[in-house]
Amino acid sequence: MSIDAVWNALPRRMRGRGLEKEKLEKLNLQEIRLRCGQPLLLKGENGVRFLRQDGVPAESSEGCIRISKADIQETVSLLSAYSLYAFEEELRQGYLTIEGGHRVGFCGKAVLEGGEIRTLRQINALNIRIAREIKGCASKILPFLMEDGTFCHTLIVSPPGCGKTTLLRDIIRSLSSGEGGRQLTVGIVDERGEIAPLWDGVPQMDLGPCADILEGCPKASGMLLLLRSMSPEVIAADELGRAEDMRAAEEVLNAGVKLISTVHGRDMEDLQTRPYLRELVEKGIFERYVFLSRRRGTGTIEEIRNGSKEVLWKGGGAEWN
Amino acid sequence: MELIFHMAGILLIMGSTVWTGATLAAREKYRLRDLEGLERGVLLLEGQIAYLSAPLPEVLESVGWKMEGTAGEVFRQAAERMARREGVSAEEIWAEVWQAGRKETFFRQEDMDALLLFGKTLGFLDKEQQKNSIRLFLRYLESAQEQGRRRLDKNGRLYYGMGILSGLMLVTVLL
Repeated sequence: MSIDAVWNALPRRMRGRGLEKEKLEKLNLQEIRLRCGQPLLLKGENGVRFLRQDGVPAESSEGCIRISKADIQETVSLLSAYSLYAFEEELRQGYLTIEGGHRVGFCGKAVLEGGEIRTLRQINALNIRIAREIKGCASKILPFLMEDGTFCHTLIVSPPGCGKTTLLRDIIRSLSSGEGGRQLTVGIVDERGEIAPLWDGVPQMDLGPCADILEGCPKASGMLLLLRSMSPEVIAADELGRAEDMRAAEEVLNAGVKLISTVHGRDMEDLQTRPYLRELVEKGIFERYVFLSRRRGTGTIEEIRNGSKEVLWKGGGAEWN
Repeated sequence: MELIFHMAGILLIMGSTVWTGATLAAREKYRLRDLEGLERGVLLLEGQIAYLSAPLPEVLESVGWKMEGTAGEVFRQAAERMARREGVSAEEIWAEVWQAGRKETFFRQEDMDALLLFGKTLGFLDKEQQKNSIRLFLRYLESAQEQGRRRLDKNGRLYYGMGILSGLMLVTVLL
């Protein structure tokens, strides 16, 4: 993924100190964090680095450039294309998707109205999460998700930061491009703009030619809306968890549409402790479970199970890094 | 022959002093015209930000085409620079385009100061704060126009009168 939009939004005094875009790209960044009064933090595959005065990322935070309030203000302005006012809803939710599909989280002083967050003021910390698109990372597991040429209801399970969304995105791309056989129409409910981030209405990642994206809509109503309006063959939604999500998922299944989703969890036992998810698991509604970890790097596929919880594949070696 | 030279001299002196008086009066008139144009643009800007939540480069571009004169051109230039996303702050872009376009306007230094101050609030405020900063700038524009009109009423004829009188005085002294 290009990090141009992120690079152009970093405070200029950071960019002007010998820090180069190429150096950042080499770090294989996952996150860039800016906190008022703290050094610029770069989190990559190989750990955390701080930006030194000379622009070199270092392991220690000593002698590093400290982020000022003006730096945060400048970055916020650049990230929002000089239009923070146009992102009220995003500000309320605490994050913003920028060009390239990267996501920026905000922290500041919450302004409340009737007990609800109306907006954030005095932004003091930013977390720029670099979007990852790894085309082909689903190709090894895709055959396990098919049965007699039909895609199975699939649940991707892992703790946070193990690559669930990256894998989900590539499965969608593969299905929509016909890599699993025939091209399937995939409807995507992207409540938080993570699976298929849009910038100015344009998807920032490749999701194949047969994907319809519904962004910013709650999962439950989004799934039903897609079902009614776009005739999908597969519906994809990230992070099922609430009771209404489960009810909507059941409706999707009853309509004969295949469902693929993700959920936080470690293993089968963990899933069975979830109040709402447990029911779907016990009913055997999901036909495939894909478990991920970071044991051998982000995206390590631990095992794939079928609806009867039998292990179809066990490895720990199909990581994409 | 001498009389002809005298007459030509008188006409020249009178012409230039009257022209100076007229120019002084016209400067205020044209400044008022520029301030009115800018106010119209800023009102449109306020509307598009408040009701459409459109991004700033888009708003400046669309408002720029609806404005006349230099201000419209400056708005469009600012929009173009912002859309390029070169990592330069909105404040700097705003200041640069206005400083470059200033010679085409009749704004006074106080107008430029208010414009640049307004530019400092662009880009990082939430909707409510952005609307407040626009209102503050609109208030300045209104009061500047009011003062300008008063000054024009009071001084407009005075500038012409002074031009004629100073011309006559010069002619009398020189003759």
